[in-house]
Amino acid sequence: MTDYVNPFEYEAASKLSSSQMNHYYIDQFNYSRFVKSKRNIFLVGERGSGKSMILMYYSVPVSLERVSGDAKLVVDDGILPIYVTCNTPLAFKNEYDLLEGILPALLAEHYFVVSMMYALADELKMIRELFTAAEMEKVKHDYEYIFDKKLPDSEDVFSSIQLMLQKANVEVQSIINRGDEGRGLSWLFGFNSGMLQLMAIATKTKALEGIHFSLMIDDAHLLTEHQIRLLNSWVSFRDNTSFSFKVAKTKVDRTTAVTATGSSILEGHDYTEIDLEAAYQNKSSEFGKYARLILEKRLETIGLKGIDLNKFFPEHPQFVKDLEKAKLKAKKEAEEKYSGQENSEKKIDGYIYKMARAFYFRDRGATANIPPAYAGLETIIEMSTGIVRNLLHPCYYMYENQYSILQGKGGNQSPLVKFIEPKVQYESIKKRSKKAWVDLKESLSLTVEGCTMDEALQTYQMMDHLTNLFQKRLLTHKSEPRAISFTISDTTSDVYPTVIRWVNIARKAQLMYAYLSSAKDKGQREMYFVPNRILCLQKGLDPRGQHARVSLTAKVLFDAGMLNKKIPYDSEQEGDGGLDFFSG
Amino acid sequence: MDSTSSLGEVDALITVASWEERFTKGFNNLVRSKKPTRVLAFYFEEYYKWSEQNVEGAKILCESLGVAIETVALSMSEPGSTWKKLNDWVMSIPADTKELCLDITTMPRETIWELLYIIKQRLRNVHVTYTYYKPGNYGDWLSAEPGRPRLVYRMSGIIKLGTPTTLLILTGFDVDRTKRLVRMYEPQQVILGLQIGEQFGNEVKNIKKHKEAFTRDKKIIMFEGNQYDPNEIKSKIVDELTPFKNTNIVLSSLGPKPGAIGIYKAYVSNPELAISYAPSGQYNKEYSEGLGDLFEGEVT
Repeated sequence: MTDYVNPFEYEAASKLSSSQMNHYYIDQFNYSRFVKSKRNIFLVGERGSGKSMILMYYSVPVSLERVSGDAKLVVDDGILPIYVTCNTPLAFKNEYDLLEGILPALLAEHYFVVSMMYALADELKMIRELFTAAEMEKVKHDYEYIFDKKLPDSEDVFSSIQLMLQKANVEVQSIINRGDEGRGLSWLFGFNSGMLQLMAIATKTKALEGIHFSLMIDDAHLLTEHQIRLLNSWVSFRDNTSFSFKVAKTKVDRTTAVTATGSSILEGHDYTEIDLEAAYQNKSSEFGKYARLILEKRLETIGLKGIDLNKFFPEHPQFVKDLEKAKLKAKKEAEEKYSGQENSEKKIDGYIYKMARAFYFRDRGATANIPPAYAGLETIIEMSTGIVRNLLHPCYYMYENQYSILQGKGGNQSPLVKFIEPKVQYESIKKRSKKAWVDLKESLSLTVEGCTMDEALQTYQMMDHLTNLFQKRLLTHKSEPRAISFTISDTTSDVYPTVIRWVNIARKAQLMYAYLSSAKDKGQREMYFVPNRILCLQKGLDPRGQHARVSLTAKVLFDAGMLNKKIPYDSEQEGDGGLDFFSG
Repeated sequence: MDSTSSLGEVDALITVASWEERFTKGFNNLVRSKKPTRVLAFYFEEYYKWSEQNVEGAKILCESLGVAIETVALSMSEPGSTWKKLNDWVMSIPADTKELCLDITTMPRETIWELLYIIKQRLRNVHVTYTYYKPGNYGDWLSAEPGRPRLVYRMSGIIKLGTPTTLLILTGFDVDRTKRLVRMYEPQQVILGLQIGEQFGNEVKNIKKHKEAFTRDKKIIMFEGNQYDPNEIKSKIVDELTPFKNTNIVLSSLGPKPGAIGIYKAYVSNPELAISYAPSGQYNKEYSEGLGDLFEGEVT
């Protein structure tokens, strides 16, 4: 078992090695044009959507590994990305609450800036071969002169700077922890007095002359309110000649857009926002292709290069047969309805697309014992709801189980998994689906920050009735039976904020996702919501949605959540239209 | 162990009055056996509607015994203001106070840590002991509505730049709270301290559940110990952390309350360690019933 590698490891990017990251990363959407640009970019997406992976991929250590350690190639485009994570206990210090006057603001800035300076020194150290001995000496001289501190001896000047920053930071924390701040804090760094100075010193070297620093701030939603305001202030510097920010944060925990001076930053003006999930929902349905590339890359790590994914994740033969029957049934009905009409061929194809899979689910019944539909590559991709971690998670466990089965069968302790049996796929998806419903029913108030027990129950009831509605549609709706996304229509209603609160609770638990899309009214953008499709199995729903969104009033959702009342259903009612997420 | 204190009398007794039966019964025992000249009973205003009767009962008992009692409202939602009140109160303790006892039975862990920190800073010559009463039994559920875990004021450690995090949690019955801490700090290394014994269904509700929940992480370290004995658990914490001494270390306690004293003792031995508190927004009114064994010992 020592050589055992599960190719579908779904750990956070921070737990992957540089070589794993280089191997797994796919620049399907050409994010390099954003990260390696001189613009301020905000990357937003929920946990597991790949924010950290994108930023870390472009960080110096991972880049260096990619170019076999040739530092010149890391900066040859004139941009030096500096990766700064906010997910460190330093970001969770909160003694600001106990301090008075300007000190809380200065301390918050110091913790943030000293982390940035340390990261900059760290990455400069990694590319130190670019600097001559004389340049290193000049960096030392300039640093000591500007900061009025003698640098300690170390293997190189950047290590010395890191030691100095470490010492300053330890001293500040010690003073604060002792409660001695009244005696003064002399080592506080600010962005202007610290980070900008260090960047300026670095650009005096030949290799970094005119370089642009791309400051990649990961997990920015973890910053304190004051730190976010400061970051916004720096983002609002319109001159992006020498530096810009690439800020990654979650979508559901919206941070303030206010700056430290009380003004606001504006999307389009001060920064460009990239919604990592919205990118998956475009008309060309790129996520399906992206997901395939990810899975192919992962399988390469166990020697299965060029494998046909449909053969690795086969559908159940019974499902293939039954779906064919359902298609024939739909075709027959369509021909009876549309033959002889104008554009009959198109209408027939449309009817088959809309109804064939619905017929399959209707004919086998929502409570049938063997659900062969929940296997196969397409199903696995659909179940992910456009989130990479959701894609890898069930695959990880399917692989584990298949591996154990092969070990048991052949006695080989290191078997090669060439495919995952449909039954094994189904069992893994079923387990995840069951757990998702248990989490929804029992754990929201235990896992979602600020979610009360009443709200947890209300959110569950809303989701339960919502999926019941989708179930009814699947079984009886005349034209859009497979709609599994929805919009909320009366946004000015008194109950709308309550419903949105429940929706956001589900989003925080990653049991619902929200996207912006064009509405029926031209030029308008509207938010629509998709329950995590892993929830589908327990309700016998088809995880493969269709071109439709159900328009629901806030009132019916409110009644579902608050009064545990069924959502009214009309089997003839049309949806909003919409996009198919993953076809392609 | 029984419910009668064997340690000596004290000058002052500090407690947090809750709505639980064990508070009143335990407090009654302690005031009579420890014979404090002064009692400070904090209570949390968010739960005053439930604890009012016990707060008033404590006053009546103290007055009847001629013990000076002061009651002070604290707020769970305003930790900064709570710190300041604790600090002010400790500053008001007479200089000749020699023996101080913390009744941690229904005292939130954050309050325990903050009080011990402030006492250590301000009253260097005071001998501090603790007492803890187990309940007769626990309710169906204990707490819900988790708040964001937070580092305890002034005990937030010395966080080194560019250094991975190790998170050590003394676990309790709520696996979700453990997971929440892990999710928040995303540590490179997780160490779980599991309470030994069969009390209150511990083997199933705590040990088994945590082993199941964290089975995937092959690197995770689990150790067992008796959290009712702070000295034992402190030694185990120190031992477990030794291989990770070059990382940033965050400690938290979700298990038997005396484990929080063990965490504090580990912190005192190395103030570079950070302590994290995992707050809850909701507690069960039927949190516990009855009065169980008494545990007591020295803090300093």
